[in-house]
Amino acid sequence: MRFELKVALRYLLSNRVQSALLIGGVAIAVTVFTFNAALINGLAEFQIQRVVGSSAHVIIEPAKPTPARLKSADGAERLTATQRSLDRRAQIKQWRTIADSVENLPGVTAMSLNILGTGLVSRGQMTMPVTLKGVEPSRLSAIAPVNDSIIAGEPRLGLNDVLIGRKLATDLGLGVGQPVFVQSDQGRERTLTVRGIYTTGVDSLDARLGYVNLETARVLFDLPEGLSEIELKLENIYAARELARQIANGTGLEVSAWMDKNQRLREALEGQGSSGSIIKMFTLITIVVGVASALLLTTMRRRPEIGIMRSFGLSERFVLSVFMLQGALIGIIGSVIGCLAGFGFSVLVAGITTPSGGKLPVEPALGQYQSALLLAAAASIIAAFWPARSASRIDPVEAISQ
Amino acid sequence: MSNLPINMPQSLLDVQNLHKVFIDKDFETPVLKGVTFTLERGEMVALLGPSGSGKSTLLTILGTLMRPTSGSLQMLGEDLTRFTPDALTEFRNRKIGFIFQYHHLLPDFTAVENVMFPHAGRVGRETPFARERAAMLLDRVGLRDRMNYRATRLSGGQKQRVAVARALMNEPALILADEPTGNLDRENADQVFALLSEIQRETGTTFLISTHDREMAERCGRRIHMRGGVVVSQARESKVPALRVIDRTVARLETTQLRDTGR
Repeated sequence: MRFELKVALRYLLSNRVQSALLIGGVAIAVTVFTFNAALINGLAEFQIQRVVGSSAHVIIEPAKPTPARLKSADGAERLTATQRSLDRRAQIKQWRTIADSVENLPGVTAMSLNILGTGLVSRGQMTMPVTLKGVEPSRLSAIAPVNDSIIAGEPRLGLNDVLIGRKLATDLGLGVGQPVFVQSDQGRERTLTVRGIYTTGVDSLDARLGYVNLETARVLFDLPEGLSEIELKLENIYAARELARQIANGTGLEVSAWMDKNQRLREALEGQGSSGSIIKMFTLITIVVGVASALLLTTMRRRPEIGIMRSFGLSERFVLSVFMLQGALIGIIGSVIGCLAGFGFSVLVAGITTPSGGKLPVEPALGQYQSALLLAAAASIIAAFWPARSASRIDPVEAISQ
Repeated sequence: MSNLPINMPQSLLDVQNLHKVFIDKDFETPVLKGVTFTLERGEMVALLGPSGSGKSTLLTILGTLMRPTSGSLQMLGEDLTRFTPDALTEFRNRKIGFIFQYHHLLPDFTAVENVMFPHAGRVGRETPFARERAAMLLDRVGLRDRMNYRATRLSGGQKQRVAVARALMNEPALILADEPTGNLDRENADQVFALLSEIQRETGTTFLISTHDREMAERCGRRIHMRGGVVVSQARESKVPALRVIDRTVARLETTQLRDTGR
């Protein structure tokens, strides 16, 4: 064992109450740090899972046709107005080839081929605007867990079937097995039968979205060949952006990741992350102030001993190392205890059932223990530097005569 | 001395016209005003003088803990005034041992750890050699059975003997002792001084002992008297018994005079 370390350890052990308080202080700060991380990250994960659990992680859509820009002979661009072409229906025509290749990409767990359109559903004198999503019956639950959301009827999509949300069913007074008149934005009309009623828990969705068979959608929206979009689910949701970029490069289509489609979620997560960072910063400041002040008192108390060490020819670096090591030991021991306590506390809180029957969104695995360990140890070492340096510069003559 | 290498200087320490002036804001206090003397290898020298005569300042400068304002300070042929702070620290560790009036043991360490400290602190670990030497030194000062006692559990005399062993740890060429028995009762003071004398004879280490203790000073081979920041006499023990008595009488008179004048 290095002699400096032995001296540092001996000094820590010689004043056990002070050392225990110091280590306890660091441990509490690290507990707050890790529990805060487990809570903020758990909450973020909970929100993300709620969003991405029932929506696509990557969406492939038709490329937006951009008109060519005209340039004059001298290469200069003249002021021009650019307008998107509205002549052609936006659709993915080569969807078969694309679907075959993206479905087999590593990390892709599910795929849904969709035709989307708007229309009106009527019953009696009541008419409601809806978005109709045409999907393959076998992939009905590939993206959103429609099968599990059915509260009446069954999750089946025959050519004349439609699944509607609870709010729409209530508004139109519809029940399972009843007919409903549908008129698409392409002017096609059809009478479909309500095969099932689902609920997502979000009223706006339950009031506006209906599922029909992909083939029915082709007819309703006058799209005999193409698709409106291809939705993908991934094993790792955080790989979405990279995969979207790859597919976009390979196909030339418009491909977006879930995080780009959920601006509000991103802002909320960033807000939470920032407040979490402020709390973490304060815990680190607490460590620095606590360790620095305690070590400063220690070095003041040990001035004569430091003077003696210097008098028998021990270097400034030796004295510096002894007190820096004390800071490091306090930081490391305190942060290990703090990490264990933070994990234990997170597990305890995560196990609590709320009065509404849910669980608190604390995720013990996301406590950022490595960062906490490194940062707390670094904070303690930084905090020890000033007292250690002043100790190393003590004038031995003055100190001995104290 | 005859077995010294040819180029090794005879004197261990050569102090020439050493001055030290303390400056506090605009106020200058000259403490050493041209101290000149030499110490030969293996000498045991008493440094006498009333309080305020500059003994402690001189010891501090000789111990390389403080730099002189001017003058020459050579030890083992090296001009110490030209050393960098780090080089001085290293030199002090290897060549100089300190014994203070108050033992100044490190209270959180055992006797053997205290003795090893100057060596272990320099090399960065407690080597088997250091442990063995520390044990031997503690045995030499009669504390083998107290080796693993914490410093706080030792008596005053025992603590000072541990401090003597610690000063000897790195086999220094010079031991500076500032009132080494000043804090002990007569019996312990005699024991510690007897120990210093024996060690000096056995090891040939040079001792410079600052003391107010006349009897102790008389037992040293030479006495350097300081007064008002200068050396006023350097009496050497005469080989002729009758002259030795005169020497001692002069020394006693000088000491009494110094005490009476309060300098």
